[in-house]
Amino acid sequence: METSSRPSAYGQHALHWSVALVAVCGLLLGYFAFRTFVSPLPRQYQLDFGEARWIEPPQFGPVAYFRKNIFLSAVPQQAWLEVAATDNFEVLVNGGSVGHETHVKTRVAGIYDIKKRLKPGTNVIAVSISRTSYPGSAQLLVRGAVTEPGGNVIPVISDENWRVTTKTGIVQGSEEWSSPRVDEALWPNAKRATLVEHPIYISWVDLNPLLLQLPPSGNWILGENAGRQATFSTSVNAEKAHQETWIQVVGSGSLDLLVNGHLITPADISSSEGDQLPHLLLASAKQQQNGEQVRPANKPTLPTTPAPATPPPVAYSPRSSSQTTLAPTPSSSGATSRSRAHSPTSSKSTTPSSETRSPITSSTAPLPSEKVTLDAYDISHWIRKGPNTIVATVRSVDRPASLFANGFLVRKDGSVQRFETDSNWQVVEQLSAQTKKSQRAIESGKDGSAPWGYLPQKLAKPVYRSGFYDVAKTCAVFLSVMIATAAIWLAASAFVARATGEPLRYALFRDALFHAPITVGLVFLLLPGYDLRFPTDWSFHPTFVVGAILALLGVRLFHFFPDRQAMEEIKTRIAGIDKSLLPHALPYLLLAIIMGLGFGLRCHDLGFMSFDHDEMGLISKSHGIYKLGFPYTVFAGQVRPITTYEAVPYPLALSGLIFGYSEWSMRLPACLMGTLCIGIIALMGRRLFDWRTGLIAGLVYACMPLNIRWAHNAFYPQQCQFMALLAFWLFYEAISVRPLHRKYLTAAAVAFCMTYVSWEGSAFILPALFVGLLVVRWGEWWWLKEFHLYRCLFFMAAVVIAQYCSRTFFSYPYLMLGSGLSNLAGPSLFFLTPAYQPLYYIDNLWLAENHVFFTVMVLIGILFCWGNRQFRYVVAVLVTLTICHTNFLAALSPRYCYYYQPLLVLAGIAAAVLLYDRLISLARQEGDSPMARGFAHAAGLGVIALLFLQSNEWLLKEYTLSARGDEPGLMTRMNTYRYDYRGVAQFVTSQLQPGDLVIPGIPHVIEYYSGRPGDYFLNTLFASKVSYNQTLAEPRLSDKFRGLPALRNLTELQEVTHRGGRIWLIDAPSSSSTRLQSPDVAEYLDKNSKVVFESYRAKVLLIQGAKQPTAVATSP
Amino acid sequence: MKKWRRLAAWAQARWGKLAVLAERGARVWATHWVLIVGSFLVFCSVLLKWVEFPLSQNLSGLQLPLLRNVGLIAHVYLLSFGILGIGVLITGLVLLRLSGPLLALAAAILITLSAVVPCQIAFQQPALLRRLTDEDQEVPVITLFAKNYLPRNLGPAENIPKQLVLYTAWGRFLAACSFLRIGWYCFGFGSVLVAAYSISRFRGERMPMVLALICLPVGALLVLVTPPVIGQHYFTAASMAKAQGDNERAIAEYRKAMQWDQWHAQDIDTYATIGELQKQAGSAEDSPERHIRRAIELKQASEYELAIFEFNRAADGSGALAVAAKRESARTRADLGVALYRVGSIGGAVTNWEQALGEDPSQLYVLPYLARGNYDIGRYQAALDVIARLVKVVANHPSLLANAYSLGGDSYAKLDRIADARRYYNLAVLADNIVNYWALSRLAGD
Repeated sequence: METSSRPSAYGQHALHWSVALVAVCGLLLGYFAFRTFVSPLPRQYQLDFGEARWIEPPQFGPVAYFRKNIFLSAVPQQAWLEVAATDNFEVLVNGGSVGHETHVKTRVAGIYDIKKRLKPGTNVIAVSISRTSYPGSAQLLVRGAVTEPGGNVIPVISDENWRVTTKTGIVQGSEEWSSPRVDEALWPNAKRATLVEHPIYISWVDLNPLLLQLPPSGNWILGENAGRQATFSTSVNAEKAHQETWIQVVGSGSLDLLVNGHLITPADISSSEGDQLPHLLLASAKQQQNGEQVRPANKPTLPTTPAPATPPPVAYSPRSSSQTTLAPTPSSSGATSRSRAHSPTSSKSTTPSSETRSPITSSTAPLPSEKVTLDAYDISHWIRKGPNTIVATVRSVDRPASLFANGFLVRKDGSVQRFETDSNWQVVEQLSAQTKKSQRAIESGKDGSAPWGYLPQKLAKPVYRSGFYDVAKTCAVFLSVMIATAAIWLAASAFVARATGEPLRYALFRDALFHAPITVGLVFLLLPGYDLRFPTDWSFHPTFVVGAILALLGVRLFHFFPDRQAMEEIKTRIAGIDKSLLPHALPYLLLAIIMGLGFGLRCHDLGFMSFDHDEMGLISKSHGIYKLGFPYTVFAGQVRPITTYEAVPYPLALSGLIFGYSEWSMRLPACLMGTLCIGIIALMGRRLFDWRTGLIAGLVYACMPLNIRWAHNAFYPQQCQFMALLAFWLFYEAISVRPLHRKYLTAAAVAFCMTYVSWEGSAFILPALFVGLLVVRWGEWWWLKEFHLYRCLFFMAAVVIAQYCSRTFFSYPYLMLGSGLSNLAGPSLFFLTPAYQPLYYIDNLWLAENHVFFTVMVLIGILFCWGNRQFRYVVAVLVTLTICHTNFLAALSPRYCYYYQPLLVLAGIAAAVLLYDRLISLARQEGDSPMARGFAHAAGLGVIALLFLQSNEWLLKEYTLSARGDEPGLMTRMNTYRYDYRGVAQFVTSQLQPGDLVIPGIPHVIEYYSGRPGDYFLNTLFASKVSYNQTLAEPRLSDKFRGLPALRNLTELQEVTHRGGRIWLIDAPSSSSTRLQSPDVAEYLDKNSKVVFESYRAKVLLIQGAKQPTAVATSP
Repeated sequence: MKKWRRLAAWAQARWGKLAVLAERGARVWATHWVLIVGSFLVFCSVLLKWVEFPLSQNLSGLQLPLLRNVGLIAHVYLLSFGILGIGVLITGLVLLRLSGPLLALAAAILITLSAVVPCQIAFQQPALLRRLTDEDQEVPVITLFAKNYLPRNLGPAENIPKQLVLYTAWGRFLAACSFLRIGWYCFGFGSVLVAAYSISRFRGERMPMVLALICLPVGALLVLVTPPVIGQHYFTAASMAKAQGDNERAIAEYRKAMQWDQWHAQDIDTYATIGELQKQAGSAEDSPERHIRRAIELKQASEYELAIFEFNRAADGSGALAVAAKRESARTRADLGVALYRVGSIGGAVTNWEQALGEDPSQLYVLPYLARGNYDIGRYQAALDVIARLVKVVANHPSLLANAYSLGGDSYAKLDRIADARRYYNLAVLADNIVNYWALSRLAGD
């Protein structure tokens, strides 16, 4: 390994570095102590699925709908369901949703209380899964139990008896697939799933399963005088502090719960349940959320006093009823959620609502339901060893104040100690203004008694109340740990200096270096917390904190064991090995290996996915190169040259000429350019910094999922990135010498032009390079007199203007309707518009899941290596491009920042390597003892290993290490499918009969895969552009790719469907295709079509024509 | 030829002078770039958006007053953060040649101003924070209203209100920060750059200068933060007392919290809580708080008119309680209007919305409803008047603006003013050019 080229300069700041190392170590240790002992994260639990087996559809299907009928003779007293599935699931019981989870490339899990959804008779438990990762079908694992009042337990286990289909169109009639009225006879049985992963990791859940699985217990209790206000209290013994303890509570009115003097519930006395505007929407929303039937109102009535069926109305609903926080319903009806800002005295609930057909005249006035739930709180944090006081005050208006509660403590041996409300609780009643009376509580009924019956259980979060107190506590913990760490450092160094007789600063420097590997180790420990396979609090275990403290103390022993002779021998041997490995050739050999690895990763599964619409747009235009020498399409009999991505079809055409047109051959240029990018990054890293930086950056880039995925895609980003990287590198080579290197400057100008004609949004490279020039040549202005610079600028300007002119000239805005990205003509003052999102690229590039640690390293690097000219150049270009894209490009997409993403990797790696050098330099200042050097190497290598591990998903899957949580972009994870156009096109082709019509969502892709042009193009909101085709016998608007006649409204769609025959509507991409239709068309499709095929983000809808019945939708 | 030579000589001479100027400029830039960038940011920031209202017009630095409350329509104030900031910076720059520390003082004032903004919104102007949070909650409801009752527009994506915690001082501070935008960030960053420059120019021991720079904003923050922190303490104590069933102590603590923190003094829910505690304790039979409690009960039961009556009884007095009760009364009227509209009693709805606006002009979210109501009952000119008012308020919000113009187009069409109708439909398409099905279909003659 090379080390610093300027070691002497580093020595001046050795003490600063030592202090910084100790401070960072103290800070991190403080964070661990804080999270472990002071403010622990909520516990998570791994579900036990017992005898349940993973099941899947009999034929391959990434989308699957599972269902299972169960028969009940009475309303159950307890019913719970554990569900796990691939990528995502939604659980429905009797047609009502009880929960859903989504985490791409994860086996997600959840546990639900379903007792309120079940009824006597036949009940259906249904689970829909839409998998986006591959290989494999949608898979499901279920375990549950339903307990009837007599104690009869009906188990629910996923096995081959479950029914499954891959399309909802299997259902005859208008029933929903999850309805109990659907006849399952045609549904195939599920089969035992084929599992390729070993072991199987299932994500963790927040709710302790025991809350739902333990038999119900507890009594409703009240005071002797049945007053409207009562304070109940009891004491619970705990074996230790912070013993795991859960409590479930509900009161007959507003409820305040105190545990050892800490308020757990919000003070909710003036709960404004229903105090939302507009009220009527709230009510319907609640009904929808409950999955209950909405009562249609035949005549509009002004809603007056709510009249819930059961229980009778109360003015103050329990706290639980007003604390609901709803996510927006993912329905296409445009339901909107609304949640009030939290107030201690009025926590107002959310107001989603479904749309109504005739809003003014046919209003629905559903009855608001009183949602009385048993709220579960994790109160472990407030539990002390010995007796613990639990106090609950209930205030009610029109009924006696009564309380129901139960809970448990988890003992050391795993058994549970239960407690519940009974006559042993004390109650204090407020009888009048002055008098209070304390007595034993009276039991008024068990769980399940009137008026509420068996209460649904749900997880609640203890309220966050004392903001400033928490901040003070946090600061105190961090400061005290930091001070303790620094004090130990100083004391240990002084002791060692005195004991060994060496200068104090040597001991200080060496001791500070001991902190470095421990700091890196602590950061390593943080990583599993962001991996969904581990619980979020995995990193914060007392063992780790104690271990870190012991390591910090024990590592000082190394002061006294400096075996210089042995270390020197090792050093000599390493030097010998270095020489024998031909050090000059070694980096190139390593680079070749890395590029080979990168090429292998990029070649794997190159043709697996079907083309997406963006790829196909360029591929279809590349055919024009063979005919006229330039890419074009033909519309309305006219040749229309390509007006964007001009340079991209040429490599595609070349590849097509050599290998023919296929997924593999079309993506080969991107694959090759992606591989070449590895080399460019490595060489750029080597030229700007050194070989270590270049090779490590190359390796990271080679293995990063985002870069591998884009190298699998024939669209422009990979080519644009390749050219842009060349421009960045060559420009630096040109400006790093005085006078400017003309050849490099010319080459950089050419590379810029190629980047620009690959995607014109990359024009921001120009200001970025200018800023790069300023920071590299800081305070120097001689370059202004370089005439060649202006020549290159003129050349680039000519290309930019020519492209802009051709774009304006060849695109026909005249007689073109609808919106599209081509509306963007150039940079604009985007930051002044309401659509401005200043943090968009911060979230999607700097703080995206694989980039977070590079960003951290860049920020650290700015602090200590801003003086490094090369680092400054890379960071300045990166930041300028981010600022320009954020503020001046009036469209936002994660792919727009892809072309400069390698700069983030390079800057992060460069900062890590420079940090490594600083640590080595510090070791030298210490007296160059092998021990200190060893620790410096360990820490430096640890940082680099950390960067590599978090940059890909081979070992750790850091999916939640992102500003957006676990919300990946389409190209950020390996083995996730985009859109299966091939699958839907082949299905339609196999089903077509004479007289059938096809309405493709994306005409040119479907035509490629089906070999048959579509018949119409549905575009009722002009969400995509259509042009007026005057050459037709009956001139009309047509789609811009294949010239299919556009259906502009419901009338035109009905005109087509009424002609007879079957209409195959290809809804791909399914996320937007039908959503972007006008509401009446969307409703028409909802009523008149069936989904007959589903695959990755694509589905086929069949609309029966007026003449022909069909059997396709009813056969499995 | 001579002409060309002369021209070349002239160009060469000019080029030489230009190069000299460039060199000089370069030296100035290299020496003072921190000050130049910092000042540029401060100057530009006053024109940019400082506070973003979810519904009504946003505020720039020039429009954010230092002492008084913000009006319903944005205006430039002489004593605004922006004008004060520019004044301080210009003074600092002018006096730079006289004394370096004066620029440092100016920088300290600028940093103080930027630090004060969120505290000012959170603690000194609770009415502003309340308006911001109310609008944040109302916009999705208006969208929902538009989706349900107006011709279908695709409109914006799901508009999810923020999850704000307003019952702690810290939560309110964070809430205030969440509404601040690029102008404020630029101002703060520019101020820090100016401060860095002034420190770097200071010769000798810099630590006292740095400390002085820090002390001014920290001192100002302490002054602003202390009362709400004390209020927070009392509020927590009140909640604890309430949870222990000690109603009298809880009431006393709530009143102390209200004395120290204006937010609680203007919060209707705090009064309702006190009213409920009084009721449970059997005290203060006819107190305003009990009327408020009763009003909220009635409102929950959708007995809007009785609720308004109770609110008005509570508002008979004066002080913060009366203000809060009046505001809530107006809100309830707006709710009543929506309820009436939904069941088809549009005339009554319009009357209530007009009354709500008359009682509390800050209930701006009523305007879209009122415009639609007037249109429905055939008062097209009145609808247009409301729309004219509405477009000023929602000028920064394209989808709301587009809907307003579309409705205006409909009103003009009903009045047979086709040219005006076409102009409004065009304005609607311009305002929200992504998808504006309503205006497009009207323009196309659908």
